[in-house]
Amino acid sequence: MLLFLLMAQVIVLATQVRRPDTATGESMSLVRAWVVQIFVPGEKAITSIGSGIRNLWTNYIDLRDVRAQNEELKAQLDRLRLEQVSLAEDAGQARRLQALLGFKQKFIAQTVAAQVIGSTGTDRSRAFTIDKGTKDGIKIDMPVITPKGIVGKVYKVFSRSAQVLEINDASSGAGVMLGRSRLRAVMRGTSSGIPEIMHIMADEKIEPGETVVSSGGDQIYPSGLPVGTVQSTAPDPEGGPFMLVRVKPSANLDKVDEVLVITQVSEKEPQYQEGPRPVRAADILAQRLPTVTPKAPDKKGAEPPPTSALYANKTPSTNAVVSAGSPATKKKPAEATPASQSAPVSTNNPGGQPGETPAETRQSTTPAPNGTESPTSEAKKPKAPSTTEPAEPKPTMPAESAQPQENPR
Amino acid sequence: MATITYTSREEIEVHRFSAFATIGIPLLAIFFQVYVSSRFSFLKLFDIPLMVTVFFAVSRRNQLAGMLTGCSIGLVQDALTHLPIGIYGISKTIAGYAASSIGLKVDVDNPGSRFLMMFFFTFLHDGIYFIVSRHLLGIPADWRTLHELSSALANAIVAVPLFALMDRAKQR
Repeated sequence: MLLFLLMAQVIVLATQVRRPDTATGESMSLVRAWVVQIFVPGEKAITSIGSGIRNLWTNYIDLRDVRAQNEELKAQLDRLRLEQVSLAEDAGQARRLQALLGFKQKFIAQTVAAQVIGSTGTDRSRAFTIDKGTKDGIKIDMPVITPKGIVGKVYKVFSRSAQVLEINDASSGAGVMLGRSRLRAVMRGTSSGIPEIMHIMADEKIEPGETVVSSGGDQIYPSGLPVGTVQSTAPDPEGGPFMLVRVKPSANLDKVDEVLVITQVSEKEPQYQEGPRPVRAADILAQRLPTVTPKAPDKKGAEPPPTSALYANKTPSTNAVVSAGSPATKKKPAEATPASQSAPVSTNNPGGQPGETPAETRQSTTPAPNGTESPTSEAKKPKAPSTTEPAEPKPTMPAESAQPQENPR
Repeated sequence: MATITYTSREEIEVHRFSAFATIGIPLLAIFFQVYVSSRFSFLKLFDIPLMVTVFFAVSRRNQLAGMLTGCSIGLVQDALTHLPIGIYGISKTIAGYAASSIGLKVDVDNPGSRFLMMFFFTFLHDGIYFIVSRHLLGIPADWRTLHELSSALANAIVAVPLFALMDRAKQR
């Protein structure tokens, strides 16, 4: 009885005493901190044992048909390279248009990969625990995503773990935009786990299957991240002038194993920059064929041999001289292509100073992928054919190949 | 000569548990609930800690012990959610009290009564949780009767073999 009474009093005390957290600046109840400290090591241990067994299986046992798979993947890679060329041209055009509009975007600059080690164990609180905390740079309100779409945000951080509130929880919300109609609205979670978009007028034309992306208006999720698709629409049950739009989340929130926490978002104005030279499909094919090392031209001013990416890689010094902007050598290989001719650099580069040559402008304003100013011109660097547009971090989802550690974008 | 009825206190056994079982089983139940349900989300339909609360309460047949067991387990569960601490605590305290009160009156070792008991207590627990969260704290929550009924049924089905398993931890 005495023990019970003492325990009850300790629990009451622990519930009321709040421990200040130096890392986050917030205070949390002692009992919550104790319970998390008790359960997290066990969850981590079991997760690591499970990962070990899975690794053993995937690395040593499940290696059948790897050779055939490898061949298939190589073929797939070749196909994708060809597709990438056409997509890169589209992306370049989009960037040029964005630059013309002075459109500011938020780019994911840095992410931390984390593993889910536990949940709340109930549908009433849709949250889960990850194995990264303040020591890994995680802070409250950081967005959590998967390659498929947004998952939620960090709402509680401990030293080596953190708790994430899912977007479909009843107390969760996000600013979203509908893909087709470009309507901006607020999406909130519900107790049934199906998020709903609020305050959309009933006369709007929204159809099931329409994509929903983050609008960036909530100051938490960067804009443009996939959120889900419209599942159904219905009249407002309260009889108001609005309609109820139910959303199916893109990420499978019922089964989240690994997530990415966006630890840094950089905001900048995208600038169109001409790449070193657009790579054509013929260049890719040329690279795959046996090549002969070209001889140096014996005549001064002779036309260069066919512009293959391989050839460009082998002669970086020529490119460097060209990109330095010497008036005598103004014609760059890239300028010979129709794509670059259709985009006058002096118009599309608002950041450039009057009188500056395109290459000089690029040298002074080109941001590096990590958000810092790049000291050298992109044109000086010999580029692989598959990296046609390397300088701009894309405002899309981070790749599935994110490393387990910090992943600077 | 005094008549001994089926439900008299003399006939009903009061079970005790070792300290290891008293602490270990609830912790294991909570750990199972939070860890395994993160891998298999359908397991969130079950409430293993509630089953443990009811089991200890009806086995000890002591209302104070039932209340404290429910309170402790509920507070630990609360701490693992993002909601205010105490919602599960209040729900499971009342469930523990009610279970220990019923344990004084009916045969709680019968599988049929265990099934009905667990069905009723799950429904009661969920109802209290809804009232506290929605009406006391103003947290957005909906009462989904079908979901609660299916949850109660699932818990009742699982409780029968689980109670039989936990019977092995009893000390007479």
